[in-house]
Amino acid sequence: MKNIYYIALSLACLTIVGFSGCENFLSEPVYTQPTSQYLVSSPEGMASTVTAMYYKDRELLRSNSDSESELYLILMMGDDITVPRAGEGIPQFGRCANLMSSNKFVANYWKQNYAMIGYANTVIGAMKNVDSSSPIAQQAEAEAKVFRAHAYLRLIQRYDNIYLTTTAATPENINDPVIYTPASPDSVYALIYRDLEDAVAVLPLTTSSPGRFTRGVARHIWAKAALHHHDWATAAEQVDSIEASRMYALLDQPWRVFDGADLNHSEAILVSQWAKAIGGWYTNTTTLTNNGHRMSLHFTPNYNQEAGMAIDFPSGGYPWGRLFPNTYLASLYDQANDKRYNDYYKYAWVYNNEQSLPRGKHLGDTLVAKSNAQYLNVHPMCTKYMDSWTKANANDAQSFKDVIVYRLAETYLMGCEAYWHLNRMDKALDYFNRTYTRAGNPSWTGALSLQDIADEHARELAMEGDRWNFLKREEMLLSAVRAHGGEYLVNDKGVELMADTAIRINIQEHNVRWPIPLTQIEIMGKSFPQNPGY
Amino acid sequence: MKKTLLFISFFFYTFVAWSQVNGVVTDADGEPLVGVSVLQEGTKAGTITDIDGHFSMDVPVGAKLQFSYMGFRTVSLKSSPSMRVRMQEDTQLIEEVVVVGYGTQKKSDLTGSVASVSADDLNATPTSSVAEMLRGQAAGVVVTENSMRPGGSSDIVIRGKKSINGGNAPLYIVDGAPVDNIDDLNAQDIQSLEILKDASSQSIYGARASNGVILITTKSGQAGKTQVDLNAYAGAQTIKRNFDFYNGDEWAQLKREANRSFVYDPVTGTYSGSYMDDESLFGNMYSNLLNRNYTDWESLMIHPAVQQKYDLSVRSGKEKSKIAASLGFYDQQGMIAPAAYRRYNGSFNSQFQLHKRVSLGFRFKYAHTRGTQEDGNIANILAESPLLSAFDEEGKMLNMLADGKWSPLWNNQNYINETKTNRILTNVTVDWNIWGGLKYHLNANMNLRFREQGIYQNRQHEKGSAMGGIASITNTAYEDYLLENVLTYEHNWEDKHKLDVTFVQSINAIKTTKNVMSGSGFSSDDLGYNSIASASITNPSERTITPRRLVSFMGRARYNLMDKYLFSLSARVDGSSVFGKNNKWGCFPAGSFAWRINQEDWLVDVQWLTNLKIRASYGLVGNQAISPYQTQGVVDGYYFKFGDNDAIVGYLPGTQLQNPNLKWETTGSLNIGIDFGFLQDRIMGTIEYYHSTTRDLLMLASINQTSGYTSQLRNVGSVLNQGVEVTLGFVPVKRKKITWDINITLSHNKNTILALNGDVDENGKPVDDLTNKWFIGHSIDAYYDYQFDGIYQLGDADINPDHSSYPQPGDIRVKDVNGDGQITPDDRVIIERAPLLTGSLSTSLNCYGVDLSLDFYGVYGAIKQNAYLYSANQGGDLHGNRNGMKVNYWTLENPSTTAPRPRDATIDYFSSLSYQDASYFRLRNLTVGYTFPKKWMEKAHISKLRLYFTASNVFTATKFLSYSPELSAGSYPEPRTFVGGINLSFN
Repeated sequence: MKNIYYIALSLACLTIVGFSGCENFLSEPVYTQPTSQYLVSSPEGMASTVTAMYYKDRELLRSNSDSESELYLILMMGDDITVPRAGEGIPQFGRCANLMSSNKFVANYWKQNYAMIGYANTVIGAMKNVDSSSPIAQQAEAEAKVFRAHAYLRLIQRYDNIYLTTTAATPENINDPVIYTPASPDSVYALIYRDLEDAVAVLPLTTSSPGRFTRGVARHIWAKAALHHHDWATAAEQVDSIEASRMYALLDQPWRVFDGADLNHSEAILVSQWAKAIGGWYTNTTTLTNNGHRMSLHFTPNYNQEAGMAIDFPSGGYPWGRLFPNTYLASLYDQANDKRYNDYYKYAWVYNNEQSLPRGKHLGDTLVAKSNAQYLNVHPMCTKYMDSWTKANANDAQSFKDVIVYRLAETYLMGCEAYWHLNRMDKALDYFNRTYTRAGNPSWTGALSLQDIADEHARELAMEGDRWNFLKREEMLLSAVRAHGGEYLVNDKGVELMADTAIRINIQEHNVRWPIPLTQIEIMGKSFPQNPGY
Repeated sequence: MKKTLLFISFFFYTFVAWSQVNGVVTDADGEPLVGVSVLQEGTKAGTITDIDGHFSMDVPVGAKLQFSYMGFRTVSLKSSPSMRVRMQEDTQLIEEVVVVGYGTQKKSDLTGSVASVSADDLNATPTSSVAEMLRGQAAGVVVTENSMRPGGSSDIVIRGKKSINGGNAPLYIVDGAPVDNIDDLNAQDIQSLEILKDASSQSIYGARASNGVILITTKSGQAGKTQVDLNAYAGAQTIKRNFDFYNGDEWAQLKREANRSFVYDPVTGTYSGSYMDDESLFGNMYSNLLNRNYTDWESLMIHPAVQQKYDLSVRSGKEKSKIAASLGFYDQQGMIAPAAYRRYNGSFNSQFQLHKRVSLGFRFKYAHTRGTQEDGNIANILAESPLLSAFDEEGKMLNMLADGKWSPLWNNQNYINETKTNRILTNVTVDWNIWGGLKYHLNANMNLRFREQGIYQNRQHEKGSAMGGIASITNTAYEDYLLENVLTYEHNWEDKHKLDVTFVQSINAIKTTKNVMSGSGFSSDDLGYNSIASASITNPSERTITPRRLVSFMGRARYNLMDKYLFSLSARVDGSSVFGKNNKWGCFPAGSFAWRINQEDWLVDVQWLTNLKIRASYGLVGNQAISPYQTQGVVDGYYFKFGDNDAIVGYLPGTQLQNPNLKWETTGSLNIGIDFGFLQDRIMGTIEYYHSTTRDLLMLASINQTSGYTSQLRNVGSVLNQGVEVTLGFVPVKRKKITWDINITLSHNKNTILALNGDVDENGKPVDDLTNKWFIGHSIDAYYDYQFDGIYQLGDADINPDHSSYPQPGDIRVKDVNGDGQITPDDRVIIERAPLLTGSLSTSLNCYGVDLSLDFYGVYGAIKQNAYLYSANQGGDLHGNRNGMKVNYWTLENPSTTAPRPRDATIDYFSSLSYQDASYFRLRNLTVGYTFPKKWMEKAHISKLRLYFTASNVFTATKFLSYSPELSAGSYPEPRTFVGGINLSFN
């Protein structure tokens, strides 16, 4: 009988434990992840947000929804100096065929940039919660402003009509009624200018953290925005300031610019930081794999599909063959003297696989294409992204080589462009000759036309992501693409090696901007119109 | 005592005529029963039967005798001089009591919808998955294959999908403990399995019950004889498919066709096409083409494999202590090495009567599993070109194939992916008979699961070679503690009014802790992922802890009036940690009523009517299956490395904006049912109708991306499920040596989305979710695509006048649904995927010890997209790059109407021809067994010896071309299994 009292007693205890403390028990404790409150309540939280923003910014080159680095490639096509082969988005962007507002790249680029703006707004909005004299907070705010200005510039370049917001979204304000209307370009540029002006005042000239924004980066973006706004004087002023800062210098040889895994050299202004190490790669949180970008694959033709060919580094490593330089681009070089003609491209492939050599061929013989299919497999390629440094072997599809976003050569060409419009030919020529003579050409002394600048832009910056923007801001996009887009090539036997000129016919007035993503148009409602033509 | 007996006997002798009764007591099969107690009713006079089942006693003429025997139904008979008594085994009694939430109930007293499945029916299917065993066993329970890899699982959906983001898996309760999965449960340990299908039976599980509840009770010890059971089977799994791949010659021709030109000659008005020369077309594969050196990739990958299971159990006990213990071993090798699964189970159940009012129960279950997986997508291997060699001339496996891609076979052999799980489920119960009908029950559960997954891509593997080997180890600890206080009160008034009341208070705390280590750069492959400590690059370790807590109060009253009118009322109040501060608590009431018509006076004498009952119920149940932290907005860490500096970590919120106001999804459901039984239940059945509306569905609403976020979880959606279920049982023959029974289930469910995330179009009309293919007014399971309308043929009037772009002859024609003369996205149509009808038919015949059973299972009206018919990954794209399902494609010479012209370019609207009728009818199980007669075995103390053979997944009639009509192309194929087995019992 004694037992029963013990049991009763212990049961009573358990019951009391059971009933007590419900509300505390039901609160949801946080163990391993900070909450978003942390990010906006201290200078350190702001700085940590900005650090993660660099990671997010790098997702332009590789993200979960873009495991093939396609978006970054898309930004390089649809111009007068490239010809695409195949791949997702190639018809719509590489040949201007039926680009629709439902296109995933149109949606992803919008989303990516507005996500950066949303983070930036959060950081900038946090200033009111913290001690505004804190240098950490001020630095974070300045970097956030560069991110915001950069994202708005990228948006207005591609979409023209965008929504302007500087307020951080919260669960409390997300349901506030908003009438969405496109911002006037003036108001967008005003914000970009203001953000960059603020940033220039705070950011240091140099940093021990390559990849982090400096005053030079802010000024470069500012110059670019000004060119887009046809505000030539501001652009010239920013370029001059960069030059006056003496922080950068052109490398002596063109080939050095893209030589190596680490491209944080004196010519680099902003470099997308990649490394085969923690923090240097994209981590897929689902598969727990660490990945590089795929830029080296896009430009290398599928030479390995030819008999007698095997993958090796001299041939370009693992290939996807999606975008090639066209014959028009090749024709712009003084092929004998301009070093870039050979430094930035590869033209021929030699047999390297004894096992499958075609009859009558020897190792080291150059493969000569006899048909269109074969030519596509040995098409001349751009070597700026070629990577034999970070890949474990030639079959490796991942690259951890840095990607240059902005470099001094572009700054100079922007200076040239700005001064040409300001009709200051001395200054324009001076900036023009920086890259032109480095490449081994004699100094340009004669009259300089806008077409000459466009040609030098192509020669120096081909496949670096600015060609489309340049043509657009100079209102040359339609005429240049209609004249030179795609590629048509016949060999001496009359075989059409290349006949891909659809873009010349397809491109229309509305192709100078992208459509607003369909889902976003639907959410924003009638007040926000679709871009004309879509 | 003896004196008293004598006295009574004497007393009767004086007044009543006496006679001697002689008799034999046997079981249903006519086997004599030893030790049956024979008692004259109303007295203590009695005897027991001898070894031949004989008894003899003197009783007054016309006295009633009661025969009782452990495990058999007690019978009462009027005495006669020579009696032959056949006793029925007690199974009927067990069946009649069903387990319901927090208690048991006589089946005849049920007011809700509860389906019971017997352990034998479960174990008839040779698989490790209890879910797969449940297929076809109960109407309204739809089981769909999820993964057929050894150790894989199937999804159970009860009465339609009710949630879009909150999950649709039912709640499993094993011996009173809610568990999140039953995949590692040994089905041989199961005593009974009940499925609670309507809200009135579910609602006592409140917030977690909206997807239905499956109650599993494991075997307990029994007082009396000791029983030892040994069950074993072993057999083989083989592959089957109902389509062909291209062989080498056919594939080469496909590639030629895909690269053939297609030119229109405006002068003659005809099309022509010239082939490329083979040498430049086939490149590196050319020599294999010349030598017809073809590779059958399927046979390199898939081989027959072994499957076996051994179970041993002991059940024993005395009146005050009972035990049941079991050991089990399950082993399934993969048809695709190295996929395999092994499971070791142990269980120990005991009950002790501590005091006349108090008993203690202790249950312990342990499972250890080890599963291994193959590398990559199976489609990668199947779709390899037959012209690519997997081995070089010396027979060595190639790492790179001639097309410059890594060999999937090579990668698979340089890959380790194993998962080990240790699971402990313990449960302590105390029952205290406080006073009268008042009882207290304590249920304390601890459910622990520790899982370790190790992956190693070695230094030869495609990915591993780039990093010097990649290893990762993920440890997950799942801890689930439950404490329940249950108070019940039962009372009968004059046998007319029976009332029982139950109160439950429970707290449940669940915590999942996950640690991930990963690294790369190893100097040796020998130790696999276990050498992670010597990685030259160690990734940051990861750790996440997710808590989930639940506090509940439940009350239920059941009232039985004269065994005719049955009422039940219940309510559960649940508080959950995963919801917003102001919405943590939810209340889930339910009520039900049943009328046993056959108990009415005017029907009681109708002999052919054994049972007739109508039932109705309505109640609310909830769903809390969203991930923790959705209301709080936690941030994720990202590492970034500036130049050569060390990486630093930063934090950002995700793309989903938190919502502090989230609350329960609530399902209100009505159930109406009728149960009937005729001719002593030789014909019986149940017909039910249900109508359940789920509100406040948690849905991701898109928000303007200019906010920096893309979506927010909100309680906005609504889904309706309604359906009819029919269960029928027939026993056409029920004789001593021959029984035959037939069981049929049929279920129909219609799922309709009533409201989505609340987004509206410019006219304020709610918009459908095209991304997820959710359409208001249609089923959650839908496709949205163009409608295939044949192939453009030479001479068709509406081909493109430019003759060089779509539509050309050989292109796919799709229907201009809205008739506006052009094909636009508006011409896409909604294609409902969910089946109209699922059903099963099972029949078993027992004849002189031989048993034969057949289980058929069918699905009617399901549509499924078949990736083999169009997808590049599955080789269906007709690009001539990968091998795939052989189709009758269009060429100039072969004007097919079913598949387009191959080409190495995008084929427009290709997916429109991929929707196939996935209805099927399958002989799921065929079992033939023989049970040896008991008398042969008695000397060896064997009470049962049965040998059997089972073939499962025997044949399938379907139009859907694949390895299985339920699985997506490229998933691990479903096996056809043949096993031989033995059931052996000693006592």
